[in-house]
Amino acid sequence: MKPNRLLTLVFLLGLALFVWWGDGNLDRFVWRILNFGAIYALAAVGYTIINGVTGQFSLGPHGFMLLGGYLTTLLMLPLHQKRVVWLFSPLSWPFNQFTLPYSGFILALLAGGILAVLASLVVGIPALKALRGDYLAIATFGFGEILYVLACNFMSLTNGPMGIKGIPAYTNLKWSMGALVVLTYMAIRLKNSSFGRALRAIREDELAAESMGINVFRHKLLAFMFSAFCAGVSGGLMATLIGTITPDLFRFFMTFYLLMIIVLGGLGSISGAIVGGFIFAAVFEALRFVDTAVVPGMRMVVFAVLLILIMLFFRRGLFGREEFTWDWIFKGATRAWRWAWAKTK
Amino acid sequence: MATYVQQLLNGVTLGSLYALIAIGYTMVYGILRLINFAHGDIFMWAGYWVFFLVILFRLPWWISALCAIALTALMGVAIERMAYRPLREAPRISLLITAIGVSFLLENLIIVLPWAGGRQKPYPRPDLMAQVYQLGNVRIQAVTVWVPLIAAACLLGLIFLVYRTKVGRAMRAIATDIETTALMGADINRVISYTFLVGSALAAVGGILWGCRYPRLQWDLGIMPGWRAFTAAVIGGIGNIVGAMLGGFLLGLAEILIVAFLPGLSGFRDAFIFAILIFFLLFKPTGILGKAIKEKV
Repeated sequence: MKPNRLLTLVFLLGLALFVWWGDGNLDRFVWRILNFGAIYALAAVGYTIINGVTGQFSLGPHGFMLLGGYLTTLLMLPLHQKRVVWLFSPLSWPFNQFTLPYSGFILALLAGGILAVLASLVVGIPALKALRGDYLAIATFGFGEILYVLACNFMSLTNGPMGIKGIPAYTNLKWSMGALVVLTYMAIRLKNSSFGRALRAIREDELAAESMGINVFRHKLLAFMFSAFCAGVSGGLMATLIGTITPDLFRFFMTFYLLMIIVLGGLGSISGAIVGGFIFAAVFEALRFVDTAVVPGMRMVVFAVLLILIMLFFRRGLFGREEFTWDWIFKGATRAWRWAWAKTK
Repeated sequence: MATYVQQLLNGVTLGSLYALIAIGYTMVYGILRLINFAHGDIFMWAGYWVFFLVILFRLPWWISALCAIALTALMGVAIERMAYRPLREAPRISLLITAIGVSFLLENLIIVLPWAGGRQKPYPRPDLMAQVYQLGNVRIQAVTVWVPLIAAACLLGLIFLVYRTKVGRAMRAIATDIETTALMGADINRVISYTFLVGSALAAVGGILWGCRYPRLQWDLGIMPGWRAFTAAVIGGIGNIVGAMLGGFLLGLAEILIVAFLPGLSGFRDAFIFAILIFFLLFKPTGILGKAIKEKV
């Protein structure tokens, strides 16, 4: 076994121990930030695969998160709560007949992801075939907004703008970190395979990629499906972390957050998306005082300015298109060591 | 009969407002190939400028409106100067991301400003616009007469500017081929600034008139009208000024007629707008008046 792989294994083991310990013992505030960080990172990993690696600009992840969030909620909400929440128009069949026990949580998350994938086919098959660049962005954005309008109007499924309360808080670090690790593993395997190289070829030059025999549409669609799956699962986790959802939770600002995350991390870098997700969650909470002490809404002003500044002066982001490697740490450490050694002489 | 006349006037009013906003989208897209996400928010700011000037500085309405147009237009120019110009050589996606950032900034600035805030504010409407005329048994709101007239005057002025002046010729030249135009000695940056100036000024006129029609102000006011106007620009063929006007009128009329005669569907109004937008992008991306552009390899 290569030493680097061993290090990764040790890291994952350490993470598992930390998660196992953290769910019971961590400070609630830190625990919540870590959960949110993992959930954002999860959606961002998928988002960077389509936006960064493939270079197809989608603005629709909030729509996929909405689908995942609502389906997971409908599957997991206890029956007595279902009777209380839908006051005006009763919950429609089949969701009023059953609810899944905690052991079915993973099924509910998967169902949310799969629903998002199905939706991604509905929008992706026509849109990825015909559109690219900003037109693709607008089409996916429009799809997300259509889902929002539907969520507001189909009362018998979503309870409309009033939202759904009392969702059991199943999400903990085991679930959020677990999902993040599994999907990151898939994303890395995807990026480093011939499939991933084809995606990068499409980003650099679609025409050249096509003339090399790459089926451009199929590759784009698969990347889009993967990103939708990540968004769907992340939406489900978010619903069962917060405990209350309304259509407004999954509006365009959610995509704005994800965009901030992947731009900060570096468009096309999976490590960047993960680091960005945790940084974003931490800064988001740390800046809460700005909203309460200065004036509500100030936080979003700060984020908007930050996004513009990153785009103007720091377009590479933290990682650029590179990935985190252990060698990178070693090189840095050796350099720091040599530097310190030279200083002492 | 009376209802038809009123609804028709309502439709034309809404349509002319969409046309005024759509111009800004279409001009900027024609020249920079950028979907200016912030355009709807610039439109929203115009209403707030009037609000600030009338309520805080106690200026008369007409002067406030003129100042608001100037301030909004300058805002558009400043945004291009600071946020878009440094990225002109960057990938177009970076430009789009920046535009999204500017849009969020403009919206949330309103929430943060102490005089505006997140709550709804009343828009100061001049008395002239609040009147109702009575013609036989048809009651006509003054706004539905004045708004289309003012809009038509602005649009005629714009057509004159684009097709009969030197700056207008430069704009059309840049829209066709930016590099060649630069080689011919045109000052690209200046012309692009003019484009943002004109587009934002028209959006400002739209925003001020929108306030006269629907006298409420809120930070998210610009989002949906912005998207509808963008849809109008796509319907008319993006980059095509006359097309944007036509698309605006069509969309405004269609929207009023649907809301008036099929009220059960009005909850799904925004979904319809985006469905139309996606439909046009997929099946008729050049719109009804636009010309097909060959992809350059």
